[in-house]
Amino acid sequence: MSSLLEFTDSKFIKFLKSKNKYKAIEELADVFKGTDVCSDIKAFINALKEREEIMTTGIGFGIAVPHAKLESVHKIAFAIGISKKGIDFNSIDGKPVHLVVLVAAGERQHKEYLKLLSKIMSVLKNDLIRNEMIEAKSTKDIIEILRNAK
Amino acid sequence: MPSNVCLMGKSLHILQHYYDNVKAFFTTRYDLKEYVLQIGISLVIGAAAGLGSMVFHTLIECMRFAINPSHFSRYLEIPSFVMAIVPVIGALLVIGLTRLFPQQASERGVRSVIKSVLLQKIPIPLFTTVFHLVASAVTLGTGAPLGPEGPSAKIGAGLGSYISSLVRLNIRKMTTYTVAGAGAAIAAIFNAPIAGVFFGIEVILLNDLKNESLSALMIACVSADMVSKAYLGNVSLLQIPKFQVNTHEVLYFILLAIVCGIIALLFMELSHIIKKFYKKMRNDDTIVILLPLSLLFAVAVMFFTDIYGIGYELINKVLAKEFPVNILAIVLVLKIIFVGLYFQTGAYGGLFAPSLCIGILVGFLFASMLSFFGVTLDPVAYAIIGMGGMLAGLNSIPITAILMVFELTNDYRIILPVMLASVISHLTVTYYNKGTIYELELLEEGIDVRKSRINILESVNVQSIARKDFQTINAKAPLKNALDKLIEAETGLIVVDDGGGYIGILSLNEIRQALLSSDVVELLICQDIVFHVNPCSIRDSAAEALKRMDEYGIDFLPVVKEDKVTAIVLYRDIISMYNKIVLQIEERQYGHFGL
Repeated sequence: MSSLLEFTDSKFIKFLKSKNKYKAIEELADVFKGTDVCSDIKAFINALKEREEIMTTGIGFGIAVPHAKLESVHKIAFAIGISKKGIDFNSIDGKPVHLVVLVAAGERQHKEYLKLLSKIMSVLKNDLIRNEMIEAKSTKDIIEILRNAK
Repeated sequence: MPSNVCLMGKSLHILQHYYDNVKAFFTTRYDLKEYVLQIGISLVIGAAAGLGSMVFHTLIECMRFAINPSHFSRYLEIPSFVMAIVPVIGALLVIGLTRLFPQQASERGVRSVIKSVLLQKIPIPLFTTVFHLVASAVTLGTGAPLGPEGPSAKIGAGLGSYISSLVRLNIRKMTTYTVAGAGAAIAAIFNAPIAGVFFGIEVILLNDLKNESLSALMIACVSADMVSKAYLGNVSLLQIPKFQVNTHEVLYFILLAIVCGIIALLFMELSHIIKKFYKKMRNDDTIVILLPLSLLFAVAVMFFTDIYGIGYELINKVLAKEFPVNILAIVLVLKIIFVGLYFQTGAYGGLFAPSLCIGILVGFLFASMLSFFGVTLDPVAYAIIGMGGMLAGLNSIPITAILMVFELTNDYRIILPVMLASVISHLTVTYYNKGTIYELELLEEGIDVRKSRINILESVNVQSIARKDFQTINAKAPLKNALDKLIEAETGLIVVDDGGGYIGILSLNEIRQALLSSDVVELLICQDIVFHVNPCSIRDSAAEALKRMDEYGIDFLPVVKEDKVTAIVLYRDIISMYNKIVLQIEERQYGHFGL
């Protein structure tokens, strides 16, 4: 799979203010508003929230990966949210989440979706990269980290 | 004296010589032996089909006579409206029989005979034939407004296939005698041998004039009609009074033919609407609708007793001019509606007799109505012409219709107008429908007889290959749970909601991508990677299921009924079924068993 940068943009990176996980999801999903990624942000947010209610996407190590496949998503993409204070995501390790990676995919983009999730997970598994992203000061820094990530 | 002895010796020698020649002729010429056998078997099958039809006819007549509302009320001195309940009792019995023997009941009428012949689903079990004889006799004997020809053809075809299986014929020959039996039964029930032959050609063989069944069909029809004539005498079903045919009325003949075609089309359209409505109510079990329908029919019978039964009495009454025009019009409308309603429930009966009845009413009304505009036409003649037109239009059998009307009337004068009416009415219907009623019905079941060959898998129902051993998983379950189940499952998993409702599938294809990273497995639940596949229903064909699997690139497909998964169909089962059928057809056609 090609670089992760193909699936995101500096506009999709946001330093989050919300402390609640649902608010954080709303805040981060809003970055797709007015873009060609999703034509129905409200439905997308609802799908993310519903999914979150079933089982947390907080996988530990301060990371959460909310994701949804939806008919109204026209282009597979992901957004990155950084919370310096941390968000309670009911993570499996009980620790607050500092890095939220929100993945959006179309209903039929099954393979691409799994490949992207897989790639994101393999990058975030690297402690160094993960910590660099959490400590990043600007969107530029994040882009640079992703560019260097293999 | 010595010269006499010498002469006798010479004669004996000549006789011995001829005997040896004849014996040698029969023993060395295998072809001839086969032809003689074919004639013999055809005669036997014709006689059996004729006898079967006569038993069927007698059963219906006995029931009709014994429990006809008007007869019964006369004997027991009870009002006829009480006896209108007879069709309801009949409906209950028919529903009971259908429920008791669902397998035998599943294939009904002429369409099922065509299917058996086309798909070589032969031999037809004897019990199925007996079941149809009884169920149809109950249906028609208790007043259902359908005809005896569909069940007769089924009985004749069943006897033909059974007898040919008894003498261990191969499938090709069995098919030949199944067709012969069906035609013979029609010949016997209508006492019309030529019509029986053409019924076989036009309906069962779908106009395949090159078919090898033709000679057997003709012999069987003659044999069946002999049985019928011996039993019934040379009596026609209809009592036709004297009528006048004027050939200069050709314009009116054509006009009536078009009217017949249009009414046939309207009937088909009504039938189609009723069918859709029934399916919406009870998708798989429309026969249950027979009960409320029979109640409705009973109410109608209270006011119009003449719509009760097959309709021969009504035909004779119309021809005897016993009805005023306004009553005829009401009876016509009621007849069309109830025939459509009964036929689409899957009740055991055919459309030939109702077509004759509707045709008589249409023709009679046509002539009577024109008389209001100063045109004097003989309503009896037009009723007979209408009978041919409607029979041809509704059943797509122009030649059978011409010959049947001729054989029923025994009057050559009627041939020309009936020919015009039958052909024009038939053309009107086929021009609009782009196929005969039987072709369209088979098309609905996925069998396109208009193609040069039949797709084998279109004839295989999903039900016959569906498996009940499938595993489900809740959409909310973590993916790792699904992985555990997938190891044990033969195929993929069916993903369901909390209520067990179908959502989609999880196959190894979907999972394979997720397995790229073990962390992804931790992150996902089944809902995240469910594949929303449009499932099939138990009534779909294997061809349809295979097409869908190809579209999705999957190797199994859920079978869903009312949102719940009842079974699954595997790709490999369909392929193995295909191979099996191809092998069976080859074995049956070219195998070395039997004659």
